Amino acid sequence: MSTEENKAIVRRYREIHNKSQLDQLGEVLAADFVGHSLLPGMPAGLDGARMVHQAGLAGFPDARATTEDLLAEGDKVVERWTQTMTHTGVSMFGAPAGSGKKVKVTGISIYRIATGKIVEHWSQMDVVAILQQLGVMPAPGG
Amino acid sequence: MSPEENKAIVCRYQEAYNTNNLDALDGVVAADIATPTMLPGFPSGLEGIKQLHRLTVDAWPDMHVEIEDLIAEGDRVAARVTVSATPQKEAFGVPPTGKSFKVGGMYLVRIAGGKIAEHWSIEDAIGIMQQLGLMPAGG
Repeated sequence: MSTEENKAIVRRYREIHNKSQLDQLGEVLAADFVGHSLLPGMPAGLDGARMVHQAGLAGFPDARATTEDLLAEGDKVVERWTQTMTHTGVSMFGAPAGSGKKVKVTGISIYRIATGKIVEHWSQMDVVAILQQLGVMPAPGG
Repeated sequence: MSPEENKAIVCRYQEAYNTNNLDALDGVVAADIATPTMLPGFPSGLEGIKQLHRLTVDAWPDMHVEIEDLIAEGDRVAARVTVSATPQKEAFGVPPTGKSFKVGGMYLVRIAGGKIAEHWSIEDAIGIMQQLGLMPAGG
């Protein structure tokens, strides 16, 4: 696969994520996908990834990510993204259900691609910013 | 600059950081570097980066950032890192607890004219709090 083909797989992953088409995740994630940033208690592989997305959507049904930067080298693709979402769903991060708080968060993800699918994933997102915007952690200077 | 040259700039940046050689940062970081993810309360540009580093090293003298992966294309370089330290003084709302932490982080930079011109960074701040015993783990 070329680096441009690998980037296209990550773009397709984002499209599936943004349209909440979780039944199509298997198109871009390998069944034995390894997520290095999965929350504890989540199953491994594609099922775990689907559960993470379902849990996120249960709290933030309108979550949409925008790819701000996309670069690739060898079998890796890096994405810098921002996600905007409104907390209209179930209780999340200690915030009561349906708080209505709007959240904008930045993250960076690395994807490793093999034979046309994402096989490995590392991610960091600014969880502190989420907690602060949900009002469950004091804001800087606050 | 080739992606390999840009990676070398990031390695020199990390080396200057890890050896507290802040003067060496002048050679690899643009004076007017843009830092969109910088903590509030710091000046913009290279001076803000140096101030943050001095504050961090004063509180976390053994801090070390290990590059685990470097990925480059065009004028961008991304780094996956491991950050470790044993806090000795309060900083960033984190008090010393006698414990050490080792967490993941990522940063992405844009290189222009042989220097880092833009820098986005995210560390696992929750992991730091959990490993220091300041926040319940797995919550």
